[in-house]
Amino acid sequence: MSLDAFLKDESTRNLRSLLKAVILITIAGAAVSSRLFSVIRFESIIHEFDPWFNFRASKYLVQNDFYSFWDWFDDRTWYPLGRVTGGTLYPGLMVTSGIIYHILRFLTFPVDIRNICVMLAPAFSGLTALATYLFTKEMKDDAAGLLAAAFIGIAPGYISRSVAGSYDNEAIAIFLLMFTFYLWIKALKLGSAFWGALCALFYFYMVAAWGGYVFITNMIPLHAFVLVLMGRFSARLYVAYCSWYALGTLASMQIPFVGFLPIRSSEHMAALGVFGLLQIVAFVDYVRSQVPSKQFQSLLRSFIVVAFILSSAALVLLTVSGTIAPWSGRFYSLWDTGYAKIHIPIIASVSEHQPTAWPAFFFDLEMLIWLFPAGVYMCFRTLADEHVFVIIYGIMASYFAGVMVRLMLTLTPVVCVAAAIALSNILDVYTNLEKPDPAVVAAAKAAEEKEEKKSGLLNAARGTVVGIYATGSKLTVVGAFTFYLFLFVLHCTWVTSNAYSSPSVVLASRLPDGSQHIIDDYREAYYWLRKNTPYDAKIMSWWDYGYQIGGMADRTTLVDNNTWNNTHIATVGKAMASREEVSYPILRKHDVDYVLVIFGGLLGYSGDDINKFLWMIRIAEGVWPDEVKEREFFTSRGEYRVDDGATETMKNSLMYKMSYYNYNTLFPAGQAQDRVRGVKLPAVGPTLNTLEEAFTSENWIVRIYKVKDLDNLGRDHASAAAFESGKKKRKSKAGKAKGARKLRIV
Amino acid sequence: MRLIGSVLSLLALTPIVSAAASAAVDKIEKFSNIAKSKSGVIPLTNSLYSEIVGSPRNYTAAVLLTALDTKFGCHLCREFHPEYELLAKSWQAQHKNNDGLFFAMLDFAKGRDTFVKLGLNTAPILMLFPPTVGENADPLHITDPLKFDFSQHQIPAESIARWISQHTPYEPKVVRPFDYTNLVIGISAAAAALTILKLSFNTLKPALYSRNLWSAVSLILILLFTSGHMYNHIRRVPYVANNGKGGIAYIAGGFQNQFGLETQIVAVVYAILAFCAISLAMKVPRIADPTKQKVTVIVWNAVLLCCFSFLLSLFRQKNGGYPFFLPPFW
Amino acid sequence: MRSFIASGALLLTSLLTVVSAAAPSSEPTTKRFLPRDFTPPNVFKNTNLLRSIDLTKPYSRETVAVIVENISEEKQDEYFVPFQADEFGKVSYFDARDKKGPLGEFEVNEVVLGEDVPTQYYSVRFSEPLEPGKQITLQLSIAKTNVVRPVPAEIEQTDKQFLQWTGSQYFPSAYTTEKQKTKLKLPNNDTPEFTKLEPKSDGTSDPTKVGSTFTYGPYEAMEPTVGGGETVSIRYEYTHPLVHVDKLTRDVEVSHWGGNLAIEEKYWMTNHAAKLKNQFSRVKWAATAYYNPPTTAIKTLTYDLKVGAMDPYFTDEIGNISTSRFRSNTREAHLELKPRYPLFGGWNHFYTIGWNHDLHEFLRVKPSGEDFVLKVPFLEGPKEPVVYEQVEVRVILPEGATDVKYSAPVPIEKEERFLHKTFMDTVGRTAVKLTLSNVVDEQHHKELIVSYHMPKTAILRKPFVIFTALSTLFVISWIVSKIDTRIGK
Repeated sequence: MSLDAFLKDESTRNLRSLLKAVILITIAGAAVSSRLFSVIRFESIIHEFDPWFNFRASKYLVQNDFYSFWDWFDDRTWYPLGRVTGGTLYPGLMVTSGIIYHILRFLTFPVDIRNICVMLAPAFSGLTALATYLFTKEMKDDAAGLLAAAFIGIAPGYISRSVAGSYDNEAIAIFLLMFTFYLWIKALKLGSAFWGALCALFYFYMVAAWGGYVFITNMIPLHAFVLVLMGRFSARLYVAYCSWYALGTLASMQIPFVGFLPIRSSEHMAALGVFGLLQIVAFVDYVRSQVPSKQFQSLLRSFIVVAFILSSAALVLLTVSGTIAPWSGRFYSLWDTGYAKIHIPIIASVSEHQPTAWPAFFFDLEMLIWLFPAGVYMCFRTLADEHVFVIIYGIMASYFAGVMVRLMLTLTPVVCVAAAIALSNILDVYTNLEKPDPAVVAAAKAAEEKEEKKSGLLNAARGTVVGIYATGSKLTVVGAFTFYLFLFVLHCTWVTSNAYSSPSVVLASRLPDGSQHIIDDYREAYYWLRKNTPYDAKIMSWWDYGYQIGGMADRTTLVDNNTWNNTHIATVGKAMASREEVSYPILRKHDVDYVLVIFGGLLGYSGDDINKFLWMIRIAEGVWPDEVKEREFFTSRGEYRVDDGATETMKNSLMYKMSYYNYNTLFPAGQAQDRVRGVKLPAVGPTLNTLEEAFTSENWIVRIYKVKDLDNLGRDHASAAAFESGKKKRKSKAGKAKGARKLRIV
Repeated sequence: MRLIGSVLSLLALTPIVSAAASAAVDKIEKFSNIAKSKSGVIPLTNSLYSEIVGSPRNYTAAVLLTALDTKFGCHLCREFHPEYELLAKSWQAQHKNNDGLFFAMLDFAKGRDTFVKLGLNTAPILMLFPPTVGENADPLHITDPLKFDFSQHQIPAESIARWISQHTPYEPKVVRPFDYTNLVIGISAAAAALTILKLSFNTLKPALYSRNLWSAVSLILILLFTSGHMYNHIRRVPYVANNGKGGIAYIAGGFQNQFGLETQIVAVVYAILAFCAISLAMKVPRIADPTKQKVTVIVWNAVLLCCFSFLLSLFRQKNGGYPFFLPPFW
Repeated sequence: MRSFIASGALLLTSLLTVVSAAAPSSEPTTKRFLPRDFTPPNVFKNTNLLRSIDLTKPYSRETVAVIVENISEEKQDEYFVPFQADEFGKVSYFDARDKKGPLGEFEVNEVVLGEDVPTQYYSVRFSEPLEPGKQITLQLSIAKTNVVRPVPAEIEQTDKQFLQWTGSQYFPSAYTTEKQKTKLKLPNNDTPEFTKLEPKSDGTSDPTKVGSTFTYGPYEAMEPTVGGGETVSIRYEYTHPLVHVDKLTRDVEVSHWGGNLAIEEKYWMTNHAAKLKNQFSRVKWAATAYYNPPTTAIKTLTYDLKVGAMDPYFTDEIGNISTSRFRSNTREAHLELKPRYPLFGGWNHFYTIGWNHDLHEFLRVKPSGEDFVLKVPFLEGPKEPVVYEQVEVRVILPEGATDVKYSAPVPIEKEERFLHKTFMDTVGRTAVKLTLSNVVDEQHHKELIVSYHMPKTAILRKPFVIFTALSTLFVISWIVSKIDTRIGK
């Protein structure tokens, strides 16, 4: 029997659903396996920075019970402030892995929480494929759904945040995003409160999992609003939206970190406004259906407008008066793109908050990026309610992705959906086996001639569909696209394996003989800290490494990647950027026992602290403008130098000293090379008086310094050191000279 | 150290003070008069300059050395000038006779010699001369004044005010005159727009309801964003740059940056590719004449292939290690 | 439905069997209880005693050859060796054998007199009593830990290290000794300090030094002594790490299904060598990397595993330690580990290593097919000299194994039996945990033999359980799928 018959026939429905199931499982398999590069190359290890905190939190959750996790006050970070961790995180991720852990334990599988955390993201990417399938199925049909699932399964844009080991909120958030959207569409189509409630439920899960839930909070209202504007208000819309909003909002307020935001902050006001609007519209609709008179209707219409204007005015008033919090900086910087750079340097300093250049789009989406507009166009052809959603989502997401690299993540799913729609449309046409019969066509044409047609700009889809005559052209098109798809797969694999599969904790390098050599300095140093320093030792480092120290070294840190206290970070920045005599009191006041710096000079590892130093200076300057001055770290010619030409301020800064201390003894005299900056260092290395080198990792990437105790004789360390090195006679003089800045510890 | 120094200097100064008190007084008179007449900023000449900065000073003087004339092409100067005037004016407004803080300005055109004397070859330069006598005298800056660092601060008047209040007891407040014109324009524009909309609603209606228009708009938006337009907008990248050897570079080197034209090229390529896909899916199957259809299919395929391969080659330029390509563009 | 009942029954039975298996067995019988005021009867005489102490490792190994004569009227079969209470605690092992004669190993017992008794005893029981007036040549081998300590306690990173041994002039004896001397064997002859006793009767200095051996004595006609005369101490150069394992846990897991023997060891390790006077300097360390001089830091640990060891791993709390090498072939299985950082004096490290074996090389099946005998190495430590403070060996047998018996090569202090649940076990696997303390590397590679009974049915439990579980799952999901959630049509 013909393929078409096979696809339509009722008798083969089970067979088809089985086939679908198999295909979906295969896709999930592909999605998971393509995320395992790092596990295979290195080991099952948590990646990068934030995941280490999530991992630590998960461990805490499975070691203690849920409620102690809920009100967990963590006194081992942000010393001496501590952090109310339980109330300032999105627990969704940890709770998810916690539940999985307990289930497996119940089945007596001796599985380590670490492996669960590592494998969570790939596992959920499989589910994401499923959710995308369902979503796209609502848009077009199964074929498109399967295509979309395949795309999202291997699209680098999504893989970038979900490889094995990148145990971050996004890992589960994208699945929740797509699934919530699917449920919303479903609820909208059926006008069913049940689906609306389900949607609210998953919305709640999303809120618990990721700060990006705000995207949903604004997408759905926007969709509803546009539908109303298009005059597509219907009971279905009303039921779906109201059930979602009422339940969803109440549920979301159960998360401590969210709390009353849904009614107090501007991000959430759109949803509230649309909710109100829908009530009015519904009411008016009802009245109109009852009352025939014309002018009364126009009255009602104006009533809507007035009500709308009034409510929005009230909103503005409340915002201004401060009852409603204005947009948070992170969110605001999406609209006013210059905002962060001036006001919140910490946000600006994060690389993933930079705008996206076009290669990044192509890198992450390859051919999908040009199938995307085609798909959106086709949504316009059959403009049902759900297609409106895809269109809005497409436009908004591509704007956000353009502003912030990391938001490529929210763009990827809709691109996959749209591209799948486009591609499946093409394939539908060209895989249709039977030839059109000229006679029928002629008849159709004749019929068509009757009603005259005007030509528009984009009137591609006018006239009746004839079909494709030549098998040759079918073959060419199908062949070509199959080839492009192959290319796409190759591209994705290549990108994943080259760009997104390095755990940044362990570095890989190639030996001359081509074999892989693993550079494990981070863990070497962290483990040294863990084993050979007192459990309550305080470690100071730049905030990037806070989470890793907490996770791997299990020691108290001053600042970490949850950058909630700018001043505290600035304090660390100041300590790093000032001269010893200034820094030492700061260190003492914060009970710092060890200071940790990252130094890439020996290996040519560019992500080190000297390269991040400028940000420390800027953030410190933001708080102490007249104690730390960025200007003074640049030479008169405005260069940022570390060699002989470096400014005095630079050479005397603690960071510089700690980075290059003893470094030149590694080289023949005067030959010291910094392989990152690619410069020759001063012949005489810096001297440290108030700190002593405690540990340096094999390749010098991590250097740990111990903060000296106060001098027994009450001298400042400089003169003490001078004394030690036998400069007795000059001691008195030195004493006087330094008298002015003798260290006083308050 | 510092303390002793200041004490010494004070001792040294006292006789001068007694002598120069009268002189100082009428200096204040004079400058405040000028300030009044010129509504804030005191325009300096070489002589006036040396007078205002010359010690003894029992007042604080902010002196701006600038080059306003367009032929010097000093953007910053011209950007900065109104702000400076605004600051001066608002100070004037609040403190009738200046209370010992003067805002002065020396334009290069008028004070070339001073520029030469100070050996300056950059402008603008904003200097703050604290008093040499009186309770808030600052002996460290008798001759070498504090300099405002343009590279570090933003230029609006507020930041200068902050800077001054950091270094002096004065707390200048900036009062920006509310700009009514903008408001009026805004309102009237809105009103006009509304009326036009109202009047021409019937003619606009089809446009508003036209699917083609909306789809065109949204497609264009999408193409803009996905081709990195926001990046251009935020980073203010040049449209094109000249490659080292006199020619023009359309493609920026490196994965992380791009030129304006480059993104437009990419956008166009995307558009063509998308259009190929659309017409293959929608136009072609509606062509009744077999041969015509066959031709179109082949044409669109060819176009698609070319554009895609061009895109790939473009990407290879940005990302050296990229291994994939399509014919014909290597 | 019947299947459930069936499985339930099976479960119950197996539970019973295991309970019986898990019944606690009697305390290991290596102790002998005697009244507090016990003093050994004076029935023996040591006619000649040669005591040689080997200090080439960071603990002392004494070999005492003594000719014992029965001076009482009746047969004697128990010879007591006294120790001061604190010395007693340091003894790692104490073996006795008939040196010349055919009697071989003798049974040695700790004599327990209760706490705070200043003198403690080991008793050697001759396998056949000694006739009056007859002689026997006993050979006692004793290992003591914590008898050396680095002096000075802090050195520079590249300095030599010196250890100081402190002991007694004579071998402590409960009987009169006619003639004895003490030999000390040192790793080298760089000995800056040693105790000089007053010259002997013949005027020769005491001790006499030949190469790297010191000799105290000979001494004539000693009365019984516990203290062992003068305290003697020697300081000698020993620039090697003092590897000290605070705790070692060793799991031996037998799986009949996988035909696999999995071994996993966890080490809590400290280096007891002299601490660093200043902080660690990477520059100096890097410099020594080229010509590697003797150092007190633990750089590598090498294991000679049993041939056929497979897929080893080397990890710690924060993941895999990449610096390990494994060479395996038909002749050897050589595992070389490098800690993440060199362990200097006072530094700690924790790591886990594990590997697999083919079970058939270690398990013998009795003809009945239901009785098994397992023969595995009791300890497999690194080649380097090691002192274990506490050792836990856990043998985990398959689910449903009963009446477990074992024989250990070294005296066990504590033994407990429990059930270990993993991989969808319903009742858990029978497991035995053996605890002992103060062990030295001499005890490596001795065999532990475990025999147990396992009915054939037991091996079928797991697949059956899985099957029932899955089928129930399907049934439930089917029922759920049939539920109609619509409120109204």
